[in-house]
Amino acid sequence: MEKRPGFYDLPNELIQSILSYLTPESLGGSIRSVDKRLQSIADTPLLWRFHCRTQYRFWDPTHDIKKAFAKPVDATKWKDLFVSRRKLDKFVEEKIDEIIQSSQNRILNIEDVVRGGASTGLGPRKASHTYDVKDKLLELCRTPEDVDDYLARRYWAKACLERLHRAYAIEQWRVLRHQTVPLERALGAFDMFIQADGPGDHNDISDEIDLLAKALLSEYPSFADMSTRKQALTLTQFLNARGFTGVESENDYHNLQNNFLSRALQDPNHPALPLVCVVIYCCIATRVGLCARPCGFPMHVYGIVTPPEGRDLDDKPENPSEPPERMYVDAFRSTIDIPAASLQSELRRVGVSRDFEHVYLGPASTLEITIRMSKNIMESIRIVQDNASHAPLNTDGSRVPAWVTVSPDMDSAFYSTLWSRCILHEHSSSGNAQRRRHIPFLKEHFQQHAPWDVALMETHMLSRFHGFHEFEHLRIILQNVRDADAAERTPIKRDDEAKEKVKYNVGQVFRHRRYMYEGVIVGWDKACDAGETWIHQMGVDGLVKGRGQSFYHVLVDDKTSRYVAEENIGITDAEPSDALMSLAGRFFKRYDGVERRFVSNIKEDYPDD
Amino acid sequence: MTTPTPSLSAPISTITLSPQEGEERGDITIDRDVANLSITIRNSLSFEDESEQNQAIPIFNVTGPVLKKIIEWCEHHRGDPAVYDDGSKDAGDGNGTAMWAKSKGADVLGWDKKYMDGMDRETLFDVIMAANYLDIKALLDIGCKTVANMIKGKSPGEIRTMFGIENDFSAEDIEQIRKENEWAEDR
Repeated sequence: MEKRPGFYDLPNELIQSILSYLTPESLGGSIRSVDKRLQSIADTPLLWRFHCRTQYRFWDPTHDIKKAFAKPVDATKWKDLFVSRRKLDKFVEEKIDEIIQSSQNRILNIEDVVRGGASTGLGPRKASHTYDVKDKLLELCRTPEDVDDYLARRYWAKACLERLHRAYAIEQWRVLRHQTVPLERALGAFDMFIQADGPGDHNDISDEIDLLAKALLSEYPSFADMSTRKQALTLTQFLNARGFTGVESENDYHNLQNNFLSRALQDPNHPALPLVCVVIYCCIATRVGLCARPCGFPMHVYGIVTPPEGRDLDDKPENPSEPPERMYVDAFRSTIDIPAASLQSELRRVGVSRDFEHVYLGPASTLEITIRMSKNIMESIRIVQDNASHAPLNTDGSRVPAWVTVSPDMDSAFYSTLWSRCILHEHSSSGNAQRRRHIPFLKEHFQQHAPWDVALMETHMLSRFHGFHEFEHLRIILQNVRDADAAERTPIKRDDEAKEKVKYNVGQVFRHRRYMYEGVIVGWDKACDAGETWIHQMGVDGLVKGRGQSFYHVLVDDKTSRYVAEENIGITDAEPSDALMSLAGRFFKRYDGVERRFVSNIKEDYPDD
Repeated sequence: MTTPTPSLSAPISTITLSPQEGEERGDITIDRDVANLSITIRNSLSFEDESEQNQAIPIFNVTGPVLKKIIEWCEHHRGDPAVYDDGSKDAGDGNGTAMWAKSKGADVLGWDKKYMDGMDRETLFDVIMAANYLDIKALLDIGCKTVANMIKGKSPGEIRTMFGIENDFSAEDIEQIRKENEWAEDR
């Protein structure tokens, strides 16, 4: 009778295979507690590398994770890496709980999440942000609706994620001021502002461009042997054939999405303004050994292609007595190059003197292109807002807020332009003048939409204004934000007078009786608590019930916070719009369909509501 | 009289296997498309020349009963599309272990589940080792998943009992392990 096999008759390699079907927690818990042999198999780096790869998609650049995956498996402590990610996940979850529970120190907590560690900790000072928290934040952004406080959880996770993205983007621009930065990083920074919990971060952009470069080389295997001229035109052809043909129609020219690399790359229609077209062209070119840079031509952004040292565009030896050749391409709109002479005559037509021609016909620096992109975005927004204000009203007199219908998010796009302009303009009189024009808008946007950017303002803005009179004003604003964050909350209880007088409650949804906008109540005062100037400006004394009636703090579906008299509040039982639902998480946990109101997450401030 | 040469155009439709382990050594004849599920057998077929094509292939490391059990699975799966032939497409797995070409999830369903449930644990281990030797990836896969499902959710003590494993940890070891495992225990 043969001896029947037991578990340990299986070779280690097969036991490893079996263990690979277990969860990492099981592997790191029960399994490795059984005996020494099973422990050593459970600790195998190969298994933990598998879990690192399958459980986590986003890694901080400091890990250089792609290289790590390609190296021999023993070169990295995969289990330690995995466990540290799990611990970070737990830290993020605990911090988000704290953020939801109280508004006190919320900004500090958000900063801790983005940093991936507590601010008061022992050990070396951590960097200000880490991409390692992104996977967990994304998961929280998708908290299922059956979770009690899902609106709040989603809102604050998203706020942290956007804050993280902005930190990365702004860092790119900060570096760009002093050194070169890859073109797609400098411009992809704008994408980092708008993408929230969607796809299209700077890694996605780089990956997409890598794929295009690979596809080009496999479609044209003799690419490397072509002359520069042929390469330039082949690239144009390649992009054109793939559907990169610029903007969909003249009407769509100013669509906001046409300004963003991630949209141009991911959207199957590849909508893109000429600037974005040329940037994609140049980024692919760099990867395949073709020298192409965007050109600073005022009316239209062309690409300048230059041949390698010592040769001309047709791969013949360069004529040393002639200036080095270059050609102008329209990225992917036409498959022929543009003669320099026609560009020169256009410049002359708009009054550029010959002495300055070279400025507009030469390659533009990455910094110049970034500023130009910023201006394009601002222009698109201006046109979108213009159109929105002329859009017809709904039958009930209301209007769908522009930010709902326009993609990507307009406010985030606007914010990106403000930051880029404030960081990138140089310290010259014209640069300073430009920067100052944008500072009031930056301050306003920051306070209203993202006060948790205070650390970014402190790091990047305060120092740039040192010595200017705006400095003190900005410093005070930032200090106020910090103080407000740290302050003890003072609850506003409903005394007898309030119970009598203040008809409506926090969480109730309403329509403004006059302006028809949709909003939700987030606070109240027994009588109008604004200053005389505001009362006068808004004509409060002209209202039927005047300034003595209850006034309400409200969140409106256009993202603004307003102060509304009780007589103008028309409480509605209707289901809140999707727009309002996505904004409400800042103050509420969820919408109660039975009570017909949002469930308060601001009990600290209004305990009786 | 000359030996008639075998027709070159007619494919040989059956294969004979000869188990070399254990007591039941009788030859087993199976259809070629069933045999092809084993990469090991397929490779040894391609090395034969025509004159050897009718001879039995010796199978080492696998007993007759286990081989029959394997064949039972192969006969049921003879028409399956080849899923595992090209190995893992994951970048960076150049360290040789082909185990990452796996389907997601650890569920064994339908016929396969009945097949697995129908054998005792020792046969299961035999089948796993045989599938490994014969290089039948899909069968190896579900065999491993089946054992994994046995282990899932069990405490260390239960696993030891199930497989007859001795606890060779000292008291200090156990304390050390508890600390190391803290991150995993909270979930």
